[in-house]
Amino acid sequence: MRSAEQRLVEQVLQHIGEISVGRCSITDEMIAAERDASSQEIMAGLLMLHEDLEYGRQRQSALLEELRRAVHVRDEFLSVASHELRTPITTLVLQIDDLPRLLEQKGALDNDTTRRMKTIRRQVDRLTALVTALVDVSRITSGKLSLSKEHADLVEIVRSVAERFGDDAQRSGSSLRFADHEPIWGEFDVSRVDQVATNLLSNAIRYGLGKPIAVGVAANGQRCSFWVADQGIGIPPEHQTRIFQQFERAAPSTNYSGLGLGLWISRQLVEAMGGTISVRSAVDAGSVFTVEIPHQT
Amino acid sequence: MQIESRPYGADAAADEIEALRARVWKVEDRLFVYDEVPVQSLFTLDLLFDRLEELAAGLDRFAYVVDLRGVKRPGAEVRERLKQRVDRLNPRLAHVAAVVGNNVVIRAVAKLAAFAIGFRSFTSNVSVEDGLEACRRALR
Repeated sequence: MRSAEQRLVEQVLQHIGEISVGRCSITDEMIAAERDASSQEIMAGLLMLHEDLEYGRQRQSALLEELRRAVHVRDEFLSVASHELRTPITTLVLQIDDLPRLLEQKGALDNDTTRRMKTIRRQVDRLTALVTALVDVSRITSGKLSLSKEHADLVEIVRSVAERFGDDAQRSGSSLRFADHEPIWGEFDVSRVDQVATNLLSNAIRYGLGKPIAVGVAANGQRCSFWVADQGIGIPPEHQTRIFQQFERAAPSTNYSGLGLGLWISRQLVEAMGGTISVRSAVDAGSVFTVEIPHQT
Repeated sequence: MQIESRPYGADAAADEIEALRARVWKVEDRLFVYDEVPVQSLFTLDLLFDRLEELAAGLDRFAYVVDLRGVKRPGAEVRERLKQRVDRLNPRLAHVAAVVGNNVVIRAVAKLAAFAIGFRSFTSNVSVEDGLEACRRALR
């Protein structure tokens, strides 16, 4: 015959099993029917434990739902704000582009005005880049990012980006070398590859401390890659994964401006292309960012 | 006014709130009685503990008897708030005496809740008189 202790142990084990899967069959009546105070306390304790766990789960779910709603509201705001900002900026760019011609016609385009016009244009370009980043974030988070592939030469895409950054690199004191390569033809989203290369190269100039920067392209079977190497401030090992996340930055925001979105957007774009983006870096020695994407000729 | 066996909320009428607050009273210097409502809610818990804090304001040490006879077992949310409210008083609490009568479920729950809350001095008592005596002993 089973002892009362054995029966209690079996009951407790059975209830622990239930509680572990989110159920509990203990009732107040069952507690009251236990033969002694200790058994009643054990059963009541199990029931309270179950209730506490369920309450914790419910609260966790509610918090998660609240968090989802907050993220949704943020994304909605980003989407609306970025699209609303883009319209006046486009008008602004058109007006600024037209100003030199108008001023020249009126004989009012002197050196000082030209210099000021260039400053305005650079700031508007910066603003455009920021708004474009916000539009991209909105597209990516809402799952509306789409690629538009065409037959193109990867070498040419990356080379044109490097050429475009020639003046910026010079202004920062960095030499910019493009390691030439024979054409790598494939199906690429030219503007998105350009965007990724642009982001990597602008980062290299920004964090490059005026030291040499190199850009190159390589082909490897069905995959091809391009890389951007600088000899600047570098990234500590603990930040090398984090920098590809949204709103994350390794460099101090007091010294370097930015939203912390560029590398996250680049990673999203590269992954949408079926590729990968990676970094090798050492503090005070520089960084090499490599993008590998499928060839698909 | 008779307090009903239902959870009271923020929509309680003024006379109901007064009747709820009146369930906490001073027996003598440093000693109070807290007559728990049949169905605890976050609202009643806060109301009664606010009243207890009012009465115990300025006291560096006090004790209270909580009458749990006729009370339904509180849920996890209420127990969590109870712990928060008691935590605020705990450093000044010389003793808490729970009156559980013959309700074995409430006795077990009160003992476990007291353990979880971390009362420094706690007893389960059959009657209010026993509870008051336990508090007086602790206050001496």
